Amino acid sequence: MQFGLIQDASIGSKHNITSLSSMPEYTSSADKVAANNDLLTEILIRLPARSLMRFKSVSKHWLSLIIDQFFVLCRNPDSSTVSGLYYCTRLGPVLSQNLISSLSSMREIQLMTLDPDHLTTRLFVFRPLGLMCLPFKVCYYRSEIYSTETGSWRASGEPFTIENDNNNMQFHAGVYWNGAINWFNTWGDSLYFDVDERLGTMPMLPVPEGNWYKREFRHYGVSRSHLHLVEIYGPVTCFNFLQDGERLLWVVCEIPRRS
Amino acid sequence: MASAPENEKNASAPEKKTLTLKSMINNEEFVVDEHVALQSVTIKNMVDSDCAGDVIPVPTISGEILALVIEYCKNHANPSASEDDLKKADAGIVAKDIYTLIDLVLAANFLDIKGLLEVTSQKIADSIKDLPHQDVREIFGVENDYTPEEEAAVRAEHDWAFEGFP
Repeated sequence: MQFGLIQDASIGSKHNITSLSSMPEYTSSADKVAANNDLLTEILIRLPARSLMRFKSVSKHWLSLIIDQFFVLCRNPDSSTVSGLYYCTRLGPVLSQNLISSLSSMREIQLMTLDPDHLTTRLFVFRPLGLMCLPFKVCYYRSEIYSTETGSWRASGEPFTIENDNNNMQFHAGVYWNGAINWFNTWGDSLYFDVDERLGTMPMLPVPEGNWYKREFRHYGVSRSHLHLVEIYGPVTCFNFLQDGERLLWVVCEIPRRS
Repeated sequence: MASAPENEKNASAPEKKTLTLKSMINNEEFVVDEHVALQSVTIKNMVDSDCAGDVIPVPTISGEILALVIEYCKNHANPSASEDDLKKADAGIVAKDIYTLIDLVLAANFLDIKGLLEVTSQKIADSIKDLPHQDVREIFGVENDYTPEEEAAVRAEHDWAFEGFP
């Protein structure tokens, strides 16, 4: 008995098209993969976040697969609960079950995380290169990754420059969100380090007018795939949300406090 | 006792059943041990339900691809192969151009061989991850159904992912 499941034209890429000349209509293998949602998803789910963001532009069909809730869930089962995010300072390793509280040592920042995307234990380390602050008040950071598989360190990504007018770069929170670890900074932009090992800055909303010279933040954390920033400026409480997949969109709610 | 190998072979023949897989694309035939072929859930179902004759015609897979599939099944049917050996062997099997990989992933899907499906999907993902989306469109023969305005809007949402790409 023959396979009875497949009735369409034969699998075969362009190189054996001649042997299929008797087929009424030739469907290439690539077309078949492209038309098979399960198979396409099997491939897409293995792509890094940055590639997926770009491949949303391939077609509306691809976009629908990539933003599909089930797909997002499969790819990143529980991005808000990275249980093994650690850092150590010069004094020794600090283990934080609840992600990172805060760290403002500029000299050496080491961060270890269990990378949920690659399901292997990796260590992220940030160290300013050279002095704490170089001329022009710019700090150079380099990240290194420790592999528990090889037992060795390797440089990760390009060295990163942070404008630091106030000599006060901080690494508050350390929240895993949207494929990146996000740190909150009370001055200037905030930082993130994504699954593709890229360090970047996230612009923050301006501090409200008044006698506020720095952000009065109370909470920076993830809930239901949104990144939340809660700030209190005197009588005004600001709730800021970053939407899933939208790195730059801030929504502000100001709730006047009853006095 | 010079003819022992022949005798032994005959003696153990009932234990070692073979199946013949025949590519219906180019009529190439492959004789494989049954336990090797049974890694394909599709073939296993056929054998289990007595639907398989001596020659199993495989209608949609070329001989070239079928050979790769059988190589994979042989490797993974070998109980003494270490995990490292298998990893290396798998890497060798999928060290192919993207179009061969696409044929292979379809074959793995059709024959229902989970491990091969996974390792081939991963290789395809690795091969396309650094390509511009226009190239990916071409490889998969996807028609761009965005209007220029829609495409620009989708792209603008993730500008950061397009750095260094056309």
